[in-house]
Amino acid sequence: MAERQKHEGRVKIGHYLLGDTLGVGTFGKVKIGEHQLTGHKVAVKILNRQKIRSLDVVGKIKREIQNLKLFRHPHIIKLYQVISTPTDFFMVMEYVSGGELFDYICKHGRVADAEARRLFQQIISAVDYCHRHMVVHRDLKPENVLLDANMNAKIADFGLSNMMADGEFLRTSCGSPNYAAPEVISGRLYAGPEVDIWSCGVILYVLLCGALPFDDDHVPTLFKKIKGGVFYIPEHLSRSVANLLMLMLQVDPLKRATIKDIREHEWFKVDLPDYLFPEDPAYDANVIDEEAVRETCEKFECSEVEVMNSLFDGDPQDHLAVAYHLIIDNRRIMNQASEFYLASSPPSGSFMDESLPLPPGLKPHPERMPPLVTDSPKPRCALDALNTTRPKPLSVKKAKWHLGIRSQSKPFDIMAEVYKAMKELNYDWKVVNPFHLRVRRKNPVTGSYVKMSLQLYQVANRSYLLDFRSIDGERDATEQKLSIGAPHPPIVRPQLSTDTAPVEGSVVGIVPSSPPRPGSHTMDFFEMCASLITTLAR
Amino acid sequence: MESEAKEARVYSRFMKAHRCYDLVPTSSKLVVFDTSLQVKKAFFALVSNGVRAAPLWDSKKQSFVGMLTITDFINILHRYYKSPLVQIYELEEHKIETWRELYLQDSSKPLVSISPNASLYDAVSSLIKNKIHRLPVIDPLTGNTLYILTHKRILKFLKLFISEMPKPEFMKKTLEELNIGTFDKIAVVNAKTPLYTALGIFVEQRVSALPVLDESGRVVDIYSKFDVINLAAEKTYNNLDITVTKALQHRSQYFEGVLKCYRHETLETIIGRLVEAEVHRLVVVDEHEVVKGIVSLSDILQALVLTAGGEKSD
Repeated sequence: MAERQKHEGRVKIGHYLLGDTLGVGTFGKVKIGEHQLTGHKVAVKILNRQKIRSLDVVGKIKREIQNLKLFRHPHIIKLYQVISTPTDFFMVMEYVSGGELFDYICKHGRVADAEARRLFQQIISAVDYCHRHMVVHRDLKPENVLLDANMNAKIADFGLSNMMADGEFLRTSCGSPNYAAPEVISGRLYAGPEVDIWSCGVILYVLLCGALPFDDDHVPTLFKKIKGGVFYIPEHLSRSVANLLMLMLQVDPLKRATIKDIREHEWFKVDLPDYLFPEDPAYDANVIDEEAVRETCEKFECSEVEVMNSLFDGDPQDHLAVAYHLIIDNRRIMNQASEFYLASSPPSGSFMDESLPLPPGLKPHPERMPPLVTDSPKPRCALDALNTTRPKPLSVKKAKWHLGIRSQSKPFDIMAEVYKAMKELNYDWKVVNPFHLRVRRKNPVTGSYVKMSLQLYQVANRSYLLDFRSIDGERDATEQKLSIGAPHPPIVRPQLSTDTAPVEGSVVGIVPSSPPRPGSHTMDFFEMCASLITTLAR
Repeated sequence: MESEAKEARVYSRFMKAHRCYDLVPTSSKLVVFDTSLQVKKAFFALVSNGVRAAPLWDSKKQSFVGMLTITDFINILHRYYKSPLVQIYELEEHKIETWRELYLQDSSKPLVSISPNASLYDAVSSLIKNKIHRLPVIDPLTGNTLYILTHKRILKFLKLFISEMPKPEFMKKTLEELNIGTFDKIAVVNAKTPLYTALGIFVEQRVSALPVLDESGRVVDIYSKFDVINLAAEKTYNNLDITVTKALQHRSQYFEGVLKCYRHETLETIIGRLVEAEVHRLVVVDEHEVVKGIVSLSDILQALVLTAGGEKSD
């Protein structure tokens, strides 16, 4: 309340307006954020810098968070962006609407065997993904397992515990060490992947029983129970799942089940969806992927030599090596998706030479448009008149389109013709400089104003191009380069579809309340160009 | 039981959770025709630009008023064709607006379009309810057409992420069990059917493809509405007395034969085949290759999204 008043309205982080507090977690408050333009909802975690290991240089934390940004898994909350201020880190993350698994179980009690398995499989898949990328959660509990609108599990806070000071970590666990593995409460500093297995075991128990395997109001007694590793198995549990629980809630970390053991367990294997454990990536670890190296350099602002050293050093936990492998992994998943967004125009028609070989891997569409038979050397269709560069066979891969007029006349003569034509058409104009004008026309039907800019360019020794540009009416100051295509949708997996929030200017239909615009902005512009071109051509 | 019913609706929920915007490619070609353009030039422009449909812009109304598709080409040919010796005046001379006036008479309806913010579920419903194959995505803020949505694109999008969703029971059921597709009064032609007759079937029965059968009812080829555009590409539309077989001789080298399926194949298999081959329909045959029915993308989307495998949707 105080915070709201203090800021007179709502606090903004990046483009996100902060709203209600979703929860208070181990690392600080989590608030809901809403993108001011798109309304896209995110969760913003506020991390106080003081709670972060004091020994750590800020740079290292930044790198670790940078790595988390590369994590992409259907059951892990995606980290979109990190914004740092002198006092806090703000982590902008995927928002899911289903709340915490913890609350769900409190409200609905234990879940059926099949449902528990479905959720558990998703959780193990996510944990496996992180472990393969050298990140241990260390603080898994039903509060960190969120649910999306379709009751799918999404794990939050992966990797965060690594940034906490040792000891601090447990003290801040909201006083609920019920999920901590025995070796963690014993104060052993090292916590490897096996601590997550223990916690997953506790989560599975909670799913199946609606109660904690180890519980006591008296913390020392609770610690004793955890270290003893004895827990009650209700009668309704099947022998198979009880066996799995015993393997996971094994006090000796060396005897505890591994991810591999869990995956091979009969109870786990039932109805296991393929996507949770995709085939091991086919790439050869001995061959360096240069593109991935370059991308790593770009993301971490380091040199290729540094990346190479990290890879050859053989330390799998080195942050550059981890980043490199994540990039390769992501690319595999994204390839499919990007093909969907890019290869949509049929590669045929007037400006692709039929004899050009198709790019490798691209299957020709069975319903490929046949080439148009030409019966005379004149333009093949009326629209070709606008295409000022003639498609040259073979040598040109992609025809360049200009919307404009080319002329060999003297520049001042060209401009004189332009003024004459504009006058005839009743256009208004402002002179920016002798060869750059801003032009306005009132659409006689809709009554709205259409604006464009005209610029004369010299393209060769005695050749000039009059270029037409559309100016967006609402954002008068910024000139928009003519683009006929749709704004860029981010290429992301669907549950993250608004991941990269659309940048200003390319957002479509973001304000639901505004009435539809009469006419069409692009068609307005085209009609204005067409009238000018025809008048000039007369 | 409850979770089963929930799983059955997983694709509906997926479609409700994604917007048409999510399907719009980063870059794609969109061709718009002014209604004062001559129809013939418009069809040539479709071919030379490699697009199958174009939104129509009426400058006087300052709005998009319709779509020009291969169906229009078929309707013009079928309505005005007389003989190979007579040029089709209406095709040569009419403007798009003239054709629309004659064709629509007074029944002109507003253009069916969709906002990029609408859900894919709404898009599927609109495609199916309006019995259309091309749904322009129009941005209410700018009034611009962004993209033309098709069944194919939607199913491909779904397929891309299908492995990440729980698989409903009905995916493992067969076409027969689910009763998806058309199995009676299948419109067919034979090798000797004149092209003009085939066009007539397209116009009257509103089907999108005709299996070509031999004497014993086995499917040997297929003539689809898309194939008709070849008449414009080759400028051979003045003779519609030729047989369907002859008309199919010009088909692209990439044709891989008629895509078929059996009634005992599962819905999952069928979807995989449709998406992989990028076709609009499969011909359902028996063990002797005799045609039994047709299963199209509309049938599939209706089953997956609107009725959740045959059950009533909520």
